[in-house]
Amino acid sequence: MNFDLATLKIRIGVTDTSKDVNLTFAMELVIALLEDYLDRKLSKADDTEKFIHFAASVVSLHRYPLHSIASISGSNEKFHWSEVTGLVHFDHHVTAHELTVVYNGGFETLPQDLIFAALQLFDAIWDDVDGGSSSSVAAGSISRITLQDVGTVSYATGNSNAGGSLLQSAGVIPATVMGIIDSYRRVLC
Amino acid sequence: MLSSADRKKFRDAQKQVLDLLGVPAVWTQVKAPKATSSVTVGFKTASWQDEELINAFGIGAKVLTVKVSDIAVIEKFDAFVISGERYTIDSVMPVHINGELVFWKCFVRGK
Repeated sequence: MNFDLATLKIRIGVTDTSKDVNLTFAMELVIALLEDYLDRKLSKADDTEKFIHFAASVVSLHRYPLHSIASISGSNEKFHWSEVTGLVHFDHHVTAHELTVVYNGGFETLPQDLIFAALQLFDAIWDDVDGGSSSSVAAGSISRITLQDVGTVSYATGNSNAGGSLLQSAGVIPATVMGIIDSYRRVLC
Repeated sequence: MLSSADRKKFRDAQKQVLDLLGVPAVWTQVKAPKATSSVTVGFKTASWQDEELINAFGIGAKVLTVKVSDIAVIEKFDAFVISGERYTIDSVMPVHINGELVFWKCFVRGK
């Protein structure tokens, strides 16, 4: 399963193209929200980062896992890089007025847990993105549901922070999503 | 009409009620290819509160609620085996949420 338009259309039960514009916006919004929270870029692409008045021995890049480093200008120091963490380690301390790193990084395919988190976040924002004009139901959880001739189930009331998590939601991002994506936050050094 | 998101929300919640409170059953198709399937169904016996049901189907009539996602088509004379008892369907009614078919209500005649 990927986090793409086809998956989202199945998720909301739409078979035509009437929601494509809103779905595409919601999809991009979810990725943007995740990237803002994680302070990193997720999709695989070429990227260039500049560091002004750089004085350190380690550079933390935003788009990783790293696949390749095309060039580092502003320093001749030898370096090593970590694919998983996006860190570039110089052999010695480097000072540079402007350090430019040209590289390729990011996920070719999002890991399954990130896809799951993205889908959960999509569920949280979709009603607002889609307008919600045709329903008077609040975007929160259902507290009680009755199926005639079967029975009634009442759910524990509360916000999205319920479920045993000690985390608080970060704005629009539910706490359950945060619990999944926290391990992907960018390493700072 | 509900939005797609709300419709999915309520549809999933109602399905969860059935999953939580339903009983295991084995469906047997009466016509060829005489398919069978193990499903979870809502099971209710008509009581004094279901006057119209009793008038239509008799005392002790049963109401079985089945998800369309479990069994796409249920017809008269199909049967469900629940705890060793065989219940033959007398009538099938659709249950919709807005325009979407979600459940089958199957009625078993009583006495």
